[in-house]
This record gives sequence, C-alpha cells and structure tokens, in this order.
Amino acid sequence: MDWSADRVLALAPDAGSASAGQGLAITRKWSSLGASDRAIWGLCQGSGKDPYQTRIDLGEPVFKCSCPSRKFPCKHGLGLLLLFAKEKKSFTRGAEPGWVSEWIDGRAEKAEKKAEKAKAAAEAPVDVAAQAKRAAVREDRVRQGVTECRTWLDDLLRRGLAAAQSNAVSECERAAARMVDAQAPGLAGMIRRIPPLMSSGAGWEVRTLEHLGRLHLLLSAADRVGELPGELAGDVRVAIGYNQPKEEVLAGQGVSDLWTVVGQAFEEDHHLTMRRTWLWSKRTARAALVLDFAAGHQPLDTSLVAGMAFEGEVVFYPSGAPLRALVKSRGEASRTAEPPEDGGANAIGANLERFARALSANPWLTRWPMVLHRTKVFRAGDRWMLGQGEELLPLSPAFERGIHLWRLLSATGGREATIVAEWDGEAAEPVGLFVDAGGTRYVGLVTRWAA
Amino acid sequence: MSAGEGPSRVLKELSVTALLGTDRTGREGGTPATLLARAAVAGTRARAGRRCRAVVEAVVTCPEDSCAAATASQTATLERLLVSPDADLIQEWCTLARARGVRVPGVVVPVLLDWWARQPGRTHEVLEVTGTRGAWLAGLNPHWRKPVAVSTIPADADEVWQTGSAAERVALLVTVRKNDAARAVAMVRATWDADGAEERRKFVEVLGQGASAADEPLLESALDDRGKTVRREAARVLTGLAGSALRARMSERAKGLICVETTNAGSGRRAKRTIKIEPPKAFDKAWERDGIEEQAAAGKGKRAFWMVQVLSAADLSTWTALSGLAPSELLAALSEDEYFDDAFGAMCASIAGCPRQPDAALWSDAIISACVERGIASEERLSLIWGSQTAERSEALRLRFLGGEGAVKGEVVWRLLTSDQRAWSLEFSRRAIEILRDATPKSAGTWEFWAPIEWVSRLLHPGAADLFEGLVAEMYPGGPSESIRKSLDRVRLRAEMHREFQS
Repeated sequence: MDWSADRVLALAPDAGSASAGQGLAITRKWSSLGASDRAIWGLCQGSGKDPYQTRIDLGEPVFKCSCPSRKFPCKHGLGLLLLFAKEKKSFTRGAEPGWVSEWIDGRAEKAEKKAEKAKAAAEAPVDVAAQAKRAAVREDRVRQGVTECRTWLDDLLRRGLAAAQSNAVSECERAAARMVDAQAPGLAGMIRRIPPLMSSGAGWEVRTLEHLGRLHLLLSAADRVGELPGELAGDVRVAIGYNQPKEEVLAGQGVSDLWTVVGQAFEEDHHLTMRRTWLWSKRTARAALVLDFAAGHQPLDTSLVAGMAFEGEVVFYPSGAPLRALVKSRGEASRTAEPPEDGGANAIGANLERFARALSANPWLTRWPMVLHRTKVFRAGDRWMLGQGEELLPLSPAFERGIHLWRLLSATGGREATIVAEWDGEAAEPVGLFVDAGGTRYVGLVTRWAA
Repeated sequence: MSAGEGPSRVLKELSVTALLGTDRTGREGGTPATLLARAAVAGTRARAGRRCRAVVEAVVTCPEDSCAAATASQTATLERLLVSPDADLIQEWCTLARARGVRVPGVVVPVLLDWWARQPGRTHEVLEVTGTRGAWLAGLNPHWRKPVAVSTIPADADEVWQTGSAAERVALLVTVRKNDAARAVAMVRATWDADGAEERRKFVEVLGQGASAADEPLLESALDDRGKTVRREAARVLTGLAGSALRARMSERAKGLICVETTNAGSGRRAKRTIKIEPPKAFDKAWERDGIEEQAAAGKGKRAFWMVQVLSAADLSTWTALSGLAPSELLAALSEDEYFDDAFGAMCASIAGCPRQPDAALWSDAIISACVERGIASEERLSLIWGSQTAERSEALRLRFLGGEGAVKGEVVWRLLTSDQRAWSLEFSRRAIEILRDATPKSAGTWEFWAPIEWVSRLLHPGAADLFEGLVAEMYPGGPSESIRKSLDRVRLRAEMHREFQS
C-alpha cells in the first residue's frame, strides 16, 4: 500500500501525537533506517540514553516501539511511517535486524498459538451444566427486565409524552440503569435515545412515538423469541443486548472479495469511543460494518484506514439483514481505493429499497450505509440535500449545522461525486467521498479528534 | 419533505394521543399497548418507505482552480494547526503556500475559512490560498459572505457603501483604499456630512494607510471637524504624512523652542555649541487645531507636555537647519539638562510618527549611536526607532546596538532583539543567536527566559532552528521545562513546514 501522510495521520490516537509524529518525520532524527518487503524500522534518539527501536509491520500495519509511551501508535511509530511515506529512498533495503525479524516472527507464532488455543478451547469439553446455568440466570433476568420495561413504557404512554418531557433525562437514565442491571444493555440504549428525541424540535412527538413503537415491537418479540425463526430471533437477541462471541462468528463462512473501506464514523458516549467502519465488496456489492471500541484516549485498532482496499474474507454476524461483520483474514492493503462500481446499485432509489428490505428482516436496524454515485449537494430553502436528478435524500440537521456540510460541499465544488453516507431512515450523514482529482481519491469528512 | 399519505399520517395522528396520554384521551385512544403496536407498524412502514420530495436548487459549481493543491503532508500540517489554532503559524503556512502558488485542498478550505472569518485581523493572503473555493463557499455561507465580500471590491461597492453596516463599510473602505486610493477618498467625501462622528473617525484612520498629498485637502478640512475624535485622528494622520502643511506648521513652532548657544572658547579654537530647549510659556489656541492637547496627564508639567508634542510632530531637519550641525553632532551637543529626556524621546517619536521625513535614515543611525554611547537601552524608545524602519534596516540597527561592546546583558537583550515583530532573516537569526549566547548566563533560570524563548520561536528563521536548539540546550543542561520545550516544538514545526514547501 502506498502510504500518504493523511493516511498515516489518520492512525494517530490524538492531535498531539499527530503533530509530534510530524516533528519526527525528518531523516536527521533517525539512524539505521531500513526496509524489507514486510517491515520498516529505525532508531530514534529520545530523551533516554539508548535510542528507541521503532519498527512497523507494514501488512496491517502494526507498530512496536521501545519507548515508554502509552499512546499507540506512539509518535515515533507515526514519525517513522510518515518519513517512509515522504522519502522511501532514505530507507536502506536489506535484511531485517534481529530486533525486527524476531518481533514479526514472534507475532506470527503468537497468532498461530492463539488460533490453536481457540481451536483447542472449541474442541475441549466444556462444563455444559455450569454454562447452561449461567445462561438460564441471565435469561431469567432479561425476562424480568422486559416485563419491567413494558410496564414503564405503558405508564409513559398513559401519562402522555408532553407530561414526561420535562424530566425525561433523569427518568430515562433511571430506567436505563435498571435495564443494565437486568443484563439487557440493548434496551438501556434504546431508552437513553428517548430524551434527545424529545428535545429534537418541531415534530419531536412523532419521532419519539416512532422510536417507542420500535421499542414496543422489541418487547413483544422478546416474549415470543422462542417461536420466531432463527435469524429473526437472533436479531431480537442482539437488539436486547446479547453478544455473540467473536470466536463463534469467526468460525463461520465468510465472503471473500476485494473490500474497500468506504468510510468511518465516530461516536463518543460516556468516555467510550465507538468507531463504525464501513466496508464495501467489489464483486458481491455488499456492505459490511466493523465496530471498534476504545475507552478514553486509548487507541483504536489501526488496521482499517478509510480509503484503502484489501482482498480478504469478511464474516458477517448472523442476522436477517447481515451487516455487522469481522475481518477474518486479509491480504496486503492495496494502493488506491476505487469507488465501488456502478451497476444501478448506487442510485438513491436502489439504496432506499435495499434499506427497506433490510428493515423488513430486522426492524431494529439503526444505520445503513449508502454509496451514492454521481451525487450532488442541493439546496432546499435553508436545508440541504443529496440528490441524483429527481431523487433526493435530506441531510441530518446535525450534519448541516456543523462544518462537515461545508467540507462536503467544498470537496465536491458543487460537482457530482461518489458520496458515502449513513442513512438512519430519516436523514443521511455523509462520512466521506470519492473525488476525481487526477485519478480517484478518497476524502474523509470525519476524524476521531475533530468529530 | 411531505408527510404524504399512509403510514406517516397514521403516525402523526397517533402522536396526538401519545402526547396527551391514554388516560386523558379515554377509550377512543385505546390502551398504551394498542397505541404502541399501531405506532410500531406505521413507524416501520414509514421508515422503510420514506421518500423525499422537495423543491431544490442546484448549487452553482465552483470554477476550477488553475494552481495546484497542497500536497498531503503540507495539508496535514495545516489541519493539525487548525485543531488548536495558532494564528502566527497558520498565517505563516498561508504565506508559504502563496509564495509557492499552492492552494488549500477543497475539504480543508471550510475549516480555514471558518477560522479566518473569526479573526479580528484578517489578511487577504489567507483568502487567496483558499483559491476559487473560498469565494465560492462564502457565496453559500452567510457567516463567511461578508468577510470575504469586502476583501475584494465587489461589483455593488457603491450600494454597500450607501447601505452597509458600519463594520462592512469600514472593511469595504480598507479594500478600496488598497486597490484604488483616490476612489476611497471620493467615497468618504460623498457621505461625509451624513456620517456619524465615530464613522468619520474610522474613515480617517483608514485613509491614514498609505496617505499621500492627494489626501491632504480632505484631511486638512477634517482638522476643523465638529467631532473632537475626528479632529485628533486627522491630526495624527497628517503628522505621519511627510511634507504636510501640518508638519510645516509644527516645525515652525519647534524653531521657537530650540536654542543654540555658542560659547566662544578663545581665539583660534572652534566655537562650542550647546543645544538647549525651552518649553513654551503659554498655550497658543491655534495649536489645538493641529492636535496638541492642552491638559497634561496628572503629575506632568504642562509646559513640557506641550513642548514634547510639538517636537514629536516637527521634522528633525528643523534641528539641523537651526544649528548647522549634522544629526550625530547635534545629539552630542544636546544639553544634558532637565529636558534632555523629553528632547530625546521626542526625536524618537518624530522618527516613529513620520518615518518618511527628510534624512530619517541618517537620524535613526545617529539616535542608535547616541544610545550606544550614552548607554540608553530603553526598549520603549528603541523599538520606536526600528519599528519605523524597513525590516532590513531594523535588523541592521538592532545588530549595531547589541553587537557592540555588550552594554546590556541578560533578558533585556532578548527583549530588544524581539521588540520588532517582523520575521528574522537567516543572517540576522545567526548573529542574534551569537549575541544571545554572550548575553545569557550559562545556567539560566527557567522562569526568566521562557517568554523570550517563545518570542524567538515565532520570529526565528527556520534555517537557524538547529542553532537555536543548541543555544537552549546550553542554557538548560538538565533539559528544558515543558513550556520551553513547546517553544522548541514550534521552531521545529516551522522548520519542517518550510522544508515541506521547499522540496
């Protein structure tokens, strides 16, 4: 993969690391710069006696440095990769020194061992009885939670939304906390979304009722989850907040294709950052969502960078409308990402139909990705829309209010572009776009620290 | 977006009941469960089938830029700068980009524009590097429209001039003044009688930028304006205009205050001359018209106060014409009596107030020499002198003053070197670092130097970054403090920025 400065900087855990990394992207800060097919490395003199050993496995990429920083990647790693992006010629091609090759080989060994262990664990006899007991306890708690939630919701409707509006925040927070105790975090999340809807301006009662209807639907489905078909039952359980272990998902059959990372979006909640990475497959024209979480200033996984593409296998979590997924295996990231091909699949109408189909399988779906070809930004009074001829998508008020609308407009220059957006059933939020600037180039609209 | 028929309307109807609560709507509203079940169906259907209908207008496309976009790493630097904006660094980036004929890539333009529109001192340079995108976006965003519109003379300039707000008119006048000085004067004249005093004062202030003899009739008439602030501003501007009638009047007044005493020290020897100054006995009402204040600040002598004002606005050539002495001789002959300080201060103020007056260069050299000889290191006065010179001459004067036999030491050297806010040349940076090395104690106190180090970090030529880092390392053998390290980071960042634009 060709590393450009902005791609490298997208990996930085915060703005400070990014700017410190840039300060280190100068040859005179380094000695013994080297590169092999799979890695680059160098020595950087820091404030300590011995220089730091910085090495990067270019495959994913993975960083390793002997400095004491808790940031990941640290400024040395970023600086080294930035330097590599700028001046490859400063790196001597040659054999890896021990401290590089041992690390990379060690990682490969570890990965193998981990896989073996997982396999062994999967094959090992488990304490079926204890597991079943734990599961039964949770089922019981969740059942009680569902009952409690229904009582609460019915009471809310009996009193009326207008009456509940004034102290919605504290009341919903209490109710949400009860659902967390009942081990139903999905229900808690849905309850927490009520107060912002109640203060969302004109038409709030319609939006709130729509959301409450969805919550009611989930509670009803939870009662009959045993009678529901497998995939729908699975989606109900996910919506309530049951997690499916990664290992189980990864054991499934994946989709092998050329995957493009078409966009990333960030969401901060209670010091927890959630990153949504949207993938799009070239041959099968499917969307996939990879979720990553990081607490506070902890780094997010660095292996998926918006705008890159890779050949690989992606496994979907089982669902009536499969979307969430994990990357099971992947080859090297490729040079430039091309926007997913147009086959009529990238029209607004086709995307809305796809969303409708997905919603009929899983009505609790919150976001759906759209890759829209030949799309322009239009003005409708004081609102803004995405449009392809007659077909339009309104932009979300939050997107319009911020700087991102202007970034999008400016990046397109008012011309057609391939725009990647999240659709929530009501409004679109663009996350990035492919523009034609002497070859196709991906432009991201959101970054973690400026989000 | 229309609510349309079908599920959206059903949902809307249900929401009326939901708003009031089923307790109040009674039987027709149904139970909460039936209401929610209907809402679930209608809501899901509405969500799945939402189509947007609206009357839209296309956005006019932005003309393509002829110049190239900044590279990814140049752009990344600018984006980092904009995360925690440092006006100096952003400005410097823009200056470099403009010199290279490079523009900011589209996606970053709004962030830069947004920062720029909030700045009190907006430079046109920043707008220029946004390329065609900047003006185009400003046409779409009301927050940016005005700052951008008044940065180039708009087609409807006269309309804006007649109907715009005070701030818009001033901004417009600044732009017009830069591009067409005579038109600016005509505009001010056209609405002069109808404008308020504060507006008239602001306009005079704007005309002070690049004032010339052509502006004098208007400014001279403003000396008789009904507003006092307008009269004062006009006097200030005319004081700065070399060859103005006001300066001639002031020089004439000054003649009455300067006396040349000749003491004949016997036959065959040259007559020794001493220059003395004598404050005026009474306040002449005619002085007020030229901006001389009658009331001195508390604690100051009235007569000396009037005298300083007259001498500060008079041509320095008055002194030489009266005495027949060259500037350096005259300064040597200036009597060191109770008025020495006032006289010397007025000379500095005269240079600063009108840098283009006759023999200004000769005088500034002479004043600097006198400062060296007499050990005057008044930062306030010295910065008046070099602030009025070209950057090149200012550097030469500062080196003359500080490069001699170390009259001053320590922190004051740092302050004197940095008292001119213009960027240092490479040669000056090198010499300045040598001077600083000699003048700074080997183990420096942390608090004493962190501010001066920061000033240098903003002015230093990036080519001297290594030398400067070396100096700081010598000053703090145990490693610099966090705030000083930040200044060094700035130096490095600037060096890197310049390197990015060179390659």
